[in-house]
Amino acid sequence: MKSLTLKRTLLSLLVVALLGATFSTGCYDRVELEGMAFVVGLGLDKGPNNTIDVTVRIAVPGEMAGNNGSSSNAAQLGGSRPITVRANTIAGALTLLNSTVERQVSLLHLATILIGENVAKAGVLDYVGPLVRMREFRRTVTFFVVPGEAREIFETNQPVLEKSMSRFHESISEISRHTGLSVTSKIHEFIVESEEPNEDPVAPVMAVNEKVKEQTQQSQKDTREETMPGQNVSFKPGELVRMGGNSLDFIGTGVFRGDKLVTYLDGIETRMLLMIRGELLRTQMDFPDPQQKGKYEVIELKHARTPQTEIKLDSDPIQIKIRQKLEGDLIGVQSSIDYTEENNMRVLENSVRETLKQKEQDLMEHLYHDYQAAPFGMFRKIRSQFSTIQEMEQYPFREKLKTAQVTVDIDLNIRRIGVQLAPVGPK
Amino acid sequence: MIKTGHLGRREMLALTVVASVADVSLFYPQQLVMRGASAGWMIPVFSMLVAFAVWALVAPVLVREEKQDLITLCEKSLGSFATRAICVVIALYMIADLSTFTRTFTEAVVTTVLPRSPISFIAVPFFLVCMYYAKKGIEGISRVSLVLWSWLAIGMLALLILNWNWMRPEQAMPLWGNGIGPLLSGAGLFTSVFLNILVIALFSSRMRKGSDVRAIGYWSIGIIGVTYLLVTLVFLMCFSPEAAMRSPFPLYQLGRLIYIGRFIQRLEAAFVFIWVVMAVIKVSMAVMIATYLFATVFRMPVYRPLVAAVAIIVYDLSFYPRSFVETISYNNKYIVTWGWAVTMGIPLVVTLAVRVRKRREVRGDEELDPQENAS
Repeated sequence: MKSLTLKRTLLSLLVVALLGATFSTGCYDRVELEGMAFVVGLGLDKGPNNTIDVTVRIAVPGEMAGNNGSSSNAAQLGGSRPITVRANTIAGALTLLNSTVERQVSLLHLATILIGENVAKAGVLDYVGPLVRMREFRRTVTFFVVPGEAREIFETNQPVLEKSMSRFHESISEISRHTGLSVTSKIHEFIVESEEPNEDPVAPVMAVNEKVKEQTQQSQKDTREETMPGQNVSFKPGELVRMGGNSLDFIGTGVFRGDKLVTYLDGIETRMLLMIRGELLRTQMDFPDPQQKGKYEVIELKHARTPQTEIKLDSDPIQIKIRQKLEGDLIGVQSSIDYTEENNMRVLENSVRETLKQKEQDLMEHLYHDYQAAPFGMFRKIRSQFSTIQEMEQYPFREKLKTAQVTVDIDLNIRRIGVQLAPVGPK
Repeated sequence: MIKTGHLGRREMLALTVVASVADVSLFYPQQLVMRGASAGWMIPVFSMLVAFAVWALVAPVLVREEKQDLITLCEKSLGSFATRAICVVIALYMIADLSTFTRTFTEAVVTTVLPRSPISFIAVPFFLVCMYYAKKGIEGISRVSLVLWSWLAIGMLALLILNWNWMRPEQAMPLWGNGIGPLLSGAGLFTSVFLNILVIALFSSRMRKGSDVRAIGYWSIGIIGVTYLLVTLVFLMCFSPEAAMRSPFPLYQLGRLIYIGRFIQRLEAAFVFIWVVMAVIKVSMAVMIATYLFATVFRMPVYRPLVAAVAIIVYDLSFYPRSFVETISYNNKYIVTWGWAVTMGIPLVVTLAVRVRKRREVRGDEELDPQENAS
């Protein structure tokens, strides 16, 4: 009896071992890491006759670790040199890529999509839509709109610090959240906002700064006066006045209507956009001194509360009212005015408030009236004003935007003055 | 009555909840959004109310008739032929439901996790595991459910909470979605997911304490309804109604969407465990029930010899639809449209028949008494 039990136990163990061996070792989906080519950056440009030019940068793990710092011409950003393939679809392009890449091309580690201007203007969803269906594609990838060609970004990009492509884009997104000079957006947000009937998406912009690119090619031998002659401060993508650094500018925002790019915002307009959306973190901004012409004061602004929006759909034209409560720290005073004195502080607060109010109002009217685009995130709140989806879809939303009346009300309180009272002055 | 073991209070609750919420990992939330749009989350609420109402009628009979279950009650009130017919109908429904469920489950695995594996490579081991559990009986399956259900609840909650950064409450508006009509019709059809009523009614005689049945029913209906409500609501708030109705695997999609900074992302593999466990428990339980009912019909003393046969039939039928899309279409056309009649209708009809019979007996007794008095 005992030996029978032992036999049964041994037989059971044998069956389990055999089944385990059968089902765990010969897995069909086993793919060796050495057999994969992980695309970390994908660029989309429109080709002729409805084709698409897909540019990829493939990760080279050895380069990411920074082992091969001297061979910067062979590989950039821990990746291969950009490879561009023309195809009818992105999936087709990835398949064609395998005719020149010796490993299986995979999107599992895709970190960024760069969308060329011609694709963005034609409609992003036609190109990105099919990607969403692919198992390897993740909706959490970052993306940028490129004024010009996406491929050029891959060729020009020479980061100041980062060695990994994914780390590079994550760092840009993180820093943009703090400077407010660009929006941070994942492709998931773009898709959701494109599909919503009363909201439009925005995208961060990555642009080639031609002047800096020229400087880089000339080995920066020119003087400052020669390379930056008589130009004012610029916040426009691709037009920042600077010498050295990466030839790319990460500033500005692409504004879409539906999934089609309609215009770009510069860095300052982007801050206004973020302020209206209630997404501005602590951000330092320069404001002209109200009492001394030509001087500027630096104020660090943040939302004290989430902006309150009131939209009256039943009035004609529709009324949009925004109430913002902002909090500021005075962190830089160029003029000789003592802004620690209460009256002067009130003057400065009023001036900053009026400046912000005017800029926000101008921006909203510009986008509503000229493009009927609604990228401010406030129209999704009107969904609750309709009782059914059908009722909401019948509302002539775009038509109403043409004449929308905007009122901005800002309550600004400069609470702190830094670590100094009266300004530093000469003898 | 075939001996199938005893069930504890917590085991029964765990089993009925896990088996009924298994569909939440597949396309049901997407179907809810299709029907109700931004108000898709309301459908489980209305269905839950219907289920509560049905249970309020069914539970008292099961509690009063302690150590009786749906089959024995049916035999007493409707006779042996009707009992056999009802057993066959429930068994066939289970097989049909299982066929579409296993096909959508295996297709989901192929689409999302193991794209190069042949579908049979996934289906065969899956069925072997389910057959093993089905052979172990309701007692074994319920204990596995009890061991795992707290982990499943934690995992599911984590999945929903980790997506908080994508949630936009406005996307659950307009309040009435596609209108009240589709919501109410959807609520009626969606009651088919409340499989717990049928399971409790079938195995109430196996409960150690018969009076626990009532509370288990109410608790399980509440938990199932709230689970579907929460998953659909989070799904809607993260994806918007327009996007949610195009996304067939909500839990997987939510898992892939988790992105809380550089270090908390790419976690979906951890959540695959949830839907595999739920699928195994549901399929094992349904195979066991179908087998048990066939054995009852043919007056077999044990059901276990039929497990392999029923599993093979389900396996074959699951490959009848040509594609994933056709499977969903079959499911909506037959299972969703008529499922409520089995899960809600049969327990309701049987318990009503028991009530009517009881009343007749009481009346008969009353009519007999005067005659006796007269004589």
